[in-house]
Amino acid sequence: MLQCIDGFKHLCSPLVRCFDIELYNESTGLDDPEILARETVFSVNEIEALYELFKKISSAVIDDGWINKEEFQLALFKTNKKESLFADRVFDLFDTKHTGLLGFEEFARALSVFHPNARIDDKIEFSFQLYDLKQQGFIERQEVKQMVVATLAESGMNLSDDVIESIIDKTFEEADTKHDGKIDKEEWRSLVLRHPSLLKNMNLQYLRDITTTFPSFVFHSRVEDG
Amino acid sequence: MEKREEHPVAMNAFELISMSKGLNLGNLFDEQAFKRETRFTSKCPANEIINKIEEAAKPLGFDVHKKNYKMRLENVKAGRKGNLNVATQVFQVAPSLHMVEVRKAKGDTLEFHKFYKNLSTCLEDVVWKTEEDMQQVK
Repeated sequence: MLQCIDGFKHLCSPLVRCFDIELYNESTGLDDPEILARETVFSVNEIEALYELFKKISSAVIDDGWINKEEFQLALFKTNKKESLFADRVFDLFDTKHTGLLGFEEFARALSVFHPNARIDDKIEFSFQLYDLKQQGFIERQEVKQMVVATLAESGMNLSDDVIESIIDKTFEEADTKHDGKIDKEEWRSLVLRHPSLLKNMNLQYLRDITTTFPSFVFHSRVEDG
Repeated sequence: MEKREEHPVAMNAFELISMSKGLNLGNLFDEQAFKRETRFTSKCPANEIINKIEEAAKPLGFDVHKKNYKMRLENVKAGRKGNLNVATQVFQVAPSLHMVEVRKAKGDTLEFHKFYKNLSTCLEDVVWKTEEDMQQVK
């Protein structure tokens, strides 16, 4: 029943905006911060602070309580003109309901994985899926090359194809212990446990300070953190 | 004198990939460019890079601790949030191209930002491309 109302509210969002702001908040997902707090690594106050960030990002282009791809790019790159293979992958992984829009629940659950206190297994899983561009269950050499080329292009570094191939050769030499030209989950896990810095971008220290970065959550807070 | 390894760590493809902006969600939180880490590329030999950073950091009032191609620079004086502590590491991207990561390990981010500005003016002949330069390219 709640889902119908949510869907209905989403369709009628221009109308809903005329109504009570409380109603609007509920429709976009901060019904019960306690539930999200229980199911993620965040405390209730952190969920509420995260919601402030969500509101900021989701209202940048269309103020409808959802983050669309353009708003996500804007938040990440400070420009919506930037196409990025990586931002696309990240967005897709956040969008667990496959609607092309991120609701607060999806946003919070995904970011939970990036919290320094989240389980390393979750980080390993998320990063594997991130790099598994074609979602085949393994990371192919071709996919790695595509990502290396994209990263270099983005940073203006020009490397010859030979050099790129040699970087990838060395990587596969180390990672592809089964010598099948692909990196599967097991091999990824083993690589990452040997080189923890490969998961560096899976840890956001910012999430630890979120309640100080977004202190306005106290105005809407319903709960005191214990 | 500690014996140094032959070469800095060869950059793993995934290490390189993980530096791309699209995979650094910290940008969702940063309003301004007061980031906690930055990087630059250099065409100088790794040893030279290390020495130049040390030469630049000492007069700025920083203690330098080196281990292979990683360094810790610690401000002797305490700042707003304790002593600024900066970690740097040199990676080899290609035989004649190195990537230097400079990140705040402890202390005030604004102070880190100021320190890095000072450091980079001293490192002008070492730096090939700064992160800003890299961002300018489409």
